[in-house]
Amino acid sequence: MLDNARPLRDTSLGSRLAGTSMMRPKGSARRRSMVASLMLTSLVDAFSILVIFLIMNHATNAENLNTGKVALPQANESEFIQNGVVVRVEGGQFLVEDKPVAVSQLHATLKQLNATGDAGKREGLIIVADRAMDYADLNPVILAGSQAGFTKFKFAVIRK
Amino acid sequence: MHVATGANKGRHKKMNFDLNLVPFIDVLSTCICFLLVTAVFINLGSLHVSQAVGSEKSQEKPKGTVTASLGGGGQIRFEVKDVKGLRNNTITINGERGRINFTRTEDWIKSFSSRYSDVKIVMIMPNPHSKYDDLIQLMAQFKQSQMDQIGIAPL
Repeated sequence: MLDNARPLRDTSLGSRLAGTSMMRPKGSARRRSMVASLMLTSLVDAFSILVIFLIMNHATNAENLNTGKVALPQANESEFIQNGVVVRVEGGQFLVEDKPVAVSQLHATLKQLNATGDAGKREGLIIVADRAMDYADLNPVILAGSQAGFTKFKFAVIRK
Repeated sequence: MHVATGANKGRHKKMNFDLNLVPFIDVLSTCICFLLVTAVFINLGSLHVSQAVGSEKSQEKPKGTVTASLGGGGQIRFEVKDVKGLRNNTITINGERGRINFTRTEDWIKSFSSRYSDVKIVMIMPNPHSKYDDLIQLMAQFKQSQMDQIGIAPL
């Protein structure tokens, strides 16, 4: 009974040598289909679920936040990164929206961005800094951001 | 894929048709490859800090504040202000091997927030040599205990 229930029994994959036997050629008994039918529906289902999951994952990721060679700190109580002016502190250099800015020009640059940027940009200042950095190196950004009128600072972290 | 569209009654007209799934699988495979290649596996987040602005007027009087001052050698001092029923309003936690003892700070923050759940405002006062990572961990501990109105003082 189980022998008859095999799905490949009537296909060429069942036994090719049995059909060419000299003694009892089974191939002459009846014509067998040479095409193996695969159940593709479950494969399409799995692919569709995978695509939906990847698209959802893609949509929730932070857009274009360039962290450079900065090793971000880890924190478990963090929120999703939203819009804001990105200031990166890398190797003692300050980069506002990926453009290097001198410390003396930091306040003026941030003030200009706060005045001319759209509402999303004005919402906050995203600070990307290395975890091993001293606060003294970060202080110019905090100071310039506060003086430029930013009321919300968002420290970029890796979510635990 | 074999799709039946109706019963064969009367005439022997074939109403079944095959749907070719191979191009559909091709499109899905291409989508999966593209999404996997462009996926960002590092999950970024942000810790929000609100800086006080002089012109802003608060609607109601705050129900107490906690000031966390970071000293040298990982020492940290918590000072509580304007909280009713609290006498000993300053506590100092010494560091451990030059770093902040986060186990003890977490214990203190949790016990404080469980007793005085109305206190939401925290002011962190780092010293020039405070590590950025330590500040983030401290802020995360406060946020974990629902003390989420955190400010950070410039030097």
